[in-house]
Amino acid sequence: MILRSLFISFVVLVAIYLFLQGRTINRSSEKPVFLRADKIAENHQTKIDITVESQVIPDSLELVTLEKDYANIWAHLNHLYATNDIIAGKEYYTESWFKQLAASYDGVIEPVISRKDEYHHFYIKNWSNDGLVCSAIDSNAVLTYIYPNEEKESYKLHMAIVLLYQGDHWRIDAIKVIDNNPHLIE
Amino acid sequence: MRIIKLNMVVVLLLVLISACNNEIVQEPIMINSSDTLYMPLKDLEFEAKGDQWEAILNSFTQPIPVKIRYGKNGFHLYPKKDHGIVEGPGRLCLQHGDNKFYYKVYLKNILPPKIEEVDYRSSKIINLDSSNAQQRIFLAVDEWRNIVDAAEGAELFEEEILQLNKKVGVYRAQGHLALSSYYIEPGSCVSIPLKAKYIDIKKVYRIIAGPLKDRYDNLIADGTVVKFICDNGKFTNLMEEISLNGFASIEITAEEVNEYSIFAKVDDAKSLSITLQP
Repeated sequence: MILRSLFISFVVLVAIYLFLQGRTINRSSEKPVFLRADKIAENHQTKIDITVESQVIPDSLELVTLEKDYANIWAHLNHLYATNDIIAGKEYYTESWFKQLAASYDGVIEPVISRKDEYHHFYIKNWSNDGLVCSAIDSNAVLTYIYPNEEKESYKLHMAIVLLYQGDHWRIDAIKVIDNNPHLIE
Repeated sequence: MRIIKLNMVVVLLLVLISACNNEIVQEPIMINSSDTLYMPLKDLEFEAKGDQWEAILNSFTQPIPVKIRYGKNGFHLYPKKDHGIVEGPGRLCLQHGDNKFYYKVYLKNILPPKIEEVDYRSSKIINLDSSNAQQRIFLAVDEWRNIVDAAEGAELFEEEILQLNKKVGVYRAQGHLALSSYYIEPGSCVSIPLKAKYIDIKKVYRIIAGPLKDRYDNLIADGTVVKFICDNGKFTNLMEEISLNGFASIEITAEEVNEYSIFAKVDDAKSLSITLQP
């Protein structure tokens, strides 16, 4: 009888210990990227024309991926522009790009001026043999700035861009706005 | 009694009307007005009234934190952090209550930033059996990820095909950056020197194949299978060993040896035959 009681007490103690241990395990609240829905990218629309001028020619499937990822990059760049939310788009930034964004980070802000990208003509200038590096000129890109009073201004500008394929995406690594004086079109 | 009620309603209406009436604020005037602002900001002065201003400076990519110090005739904007930005068109928004004023500016970095030459190589692993050609895409970026001209009049992006040297090893496209490493791997074996020596203590013959080299005089890859084919006139025996540091060896008991003829083989390459005699 005593042995039975001791055995039951031992089992109960072990069960309580395991239960408490289980509660203390820190479970990450962040889902892996392939399980997350990217609402910012999903709600974004733009038009992208791609022209290949590189010596190495990407295949059609690679171009589809590039177009989708480039649109998503701009979805997050626009969100970043309005809110300074550097975390939301981190899947589309290289480490170096993220570092320079983090240097100017001082918390997320309420949007005042927002931006939409309406159009891109993406000229691929270089494409690496392994399909991991793409440098391009985004020519005649149309960006619309929207002010709180709903006033809009659209500009046409040219940019040089370097994208790197890392993980599951193309990510922005470097940029240069080629025009010092972007052309106001509206 | 009616008059008192009427008076109360009138007073209430007046209070409501005055609450709805926004304060009109004059647009701040930028002293030393310029279309281009240099980052980090150095004392950007505005002539303005009031002391409850907020400032938001948007670079081409993100809002840049700035702080305000009030002076006699207005206020000054200072950077919260001393660093550069992605250059390009920006917007400065000055806000006082519901009044917002916008200034279109072009933002540039004032300090000459550290410029890094970026050298992308493809492919990263070169096997000398196929080719020693490698694609190189290179450009220059500053520490704030602005693409810069690598040289006066140069293209922003350059590309070339390099003919690498044929010496096996691990090399770096950028000396300081381990991630820029690429690997030249040896080709197939073309040369198999073969020799045998008798080891008296163990009473064995040791057959040694090596140094095994490719056509560019590099030692072949570790783990390559070397076949030793021994023929005594009646039977042919096959033994396999893997190479290490360009050598592979087997041992044959001396008493078994009865005029063995031995040669070694790696893929298509064959050594000369040697004969072991008791």
